[in-house]
Amino acid sequence: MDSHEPLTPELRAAEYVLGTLDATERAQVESDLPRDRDLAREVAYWEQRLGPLSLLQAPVEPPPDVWSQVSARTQPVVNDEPRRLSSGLWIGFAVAASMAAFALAALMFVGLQPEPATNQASPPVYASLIEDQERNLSWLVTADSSPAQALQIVAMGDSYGKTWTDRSLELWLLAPGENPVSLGLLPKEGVSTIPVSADVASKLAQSNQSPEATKLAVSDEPLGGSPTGAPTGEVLYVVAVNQRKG
Amino acid sequence: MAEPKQLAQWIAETAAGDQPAFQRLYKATSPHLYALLLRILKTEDKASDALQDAFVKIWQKAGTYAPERGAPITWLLSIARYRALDMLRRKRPELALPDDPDMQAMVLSDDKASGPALDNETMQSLTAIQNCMKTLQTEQRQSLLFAYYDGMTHTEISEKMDAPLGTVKSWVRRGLTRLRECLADNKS
Repeated sequence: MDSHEPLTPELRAAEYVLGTLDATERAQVESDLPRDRDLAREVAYWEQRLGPLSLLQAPVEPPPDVWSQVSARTQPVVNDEPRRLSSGLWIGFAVAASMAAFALAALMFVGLQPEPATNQASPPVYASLIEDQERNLSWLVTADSSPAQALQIVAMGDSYGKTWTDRSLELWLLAPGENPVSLGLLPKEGVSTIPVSADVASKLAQSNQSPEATKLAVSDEPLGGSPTGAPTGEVLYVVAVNQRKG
Repeated sequence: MAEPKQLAQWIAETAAGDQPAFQRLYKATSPHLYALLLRILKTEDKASDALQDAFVKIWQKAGTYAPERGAPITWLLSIARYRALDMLRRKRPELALPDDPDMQAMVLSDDKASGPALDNETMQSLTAIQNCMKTLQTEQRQSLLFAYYDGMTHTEISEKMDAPLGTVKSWVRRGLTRLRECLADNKS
């Protein structure tokens, strides 16, 4: 075996798991992994075969402050606690939902308007704001009635296409003790309306009972959405479902 | 350690944002991940940092764990190992301390009484890889173990074993090829 020959795909995966690749080669394998199924299969093979060797070492209890730091860093990405929205802000949300092009401007001027525009839709009953400040992206998810009949999603910001060129972002409903239910894909731009089933509507209604009851999550999925009906990619955001009081 | 089924369940709940399940997963598995990180990174500070990063990653990536990819514990250990390797490749610390336990001897030993209690399935995989490691030439096995347990690169192994780089690369590749053949034979 000539060590100067290029690595075969099998050995490349094996050496990646073993750890002998240099930083550049490691990064290359990691960037190829999501697209290259054969590579991913080989990597998984070696992870499974070599992994048990790690268990030959006696376990060591980590220092207690590690957990507190992990815990602090893994609070749900966006608003964990439902925001207490003033009625003024609710009106702002309604304007945004009905006038996507002016959504940001409308939000900025909330409170300056003496009264809401007369042709405006009724204020939403449910609202969640999915916000990614780092990428300057956000989605406003609202439903106008309870039980909800449809979700309206307004996309704001323009970096979706640059960040996820050949991926889709899928929206899920998380109810306690239940598997995530797919609600559909987040729009790249503009507004989309997603009809909701009676089951989803009743789960949304539970968000009234406890702040922890029902949440929305967004996962990174293959183009067109999860092939399995369950989230398969990284969970990017988890947000509360806020319900209007009164 | 908890049974694989239980670990898989906690990972699934973690994927749905369930913090208490995530904490149980941490409690059950962090001592294994930490022992591995201590071995590779050599200091408690670095191992603690890596453990913290690894669990943040586990929280973010829990949705990508698929049981058909294998045992949950090996998936968790891989995330921790890769984090340690990333840290090492960015900035090399000192080489292996002389008083590190001799992993070659541990891998070759049949005595698992000193190790953690493992479920049957994990114990079988461990026995399989140990038996196949025994079939390798000494240099092949030693280079694989320096890479695996100490995160060494080809160059570092070549310095440690006082052998030319090309020879070390061949040991590693032949060792891996032989391991794969042996593991395939044992399975059938």
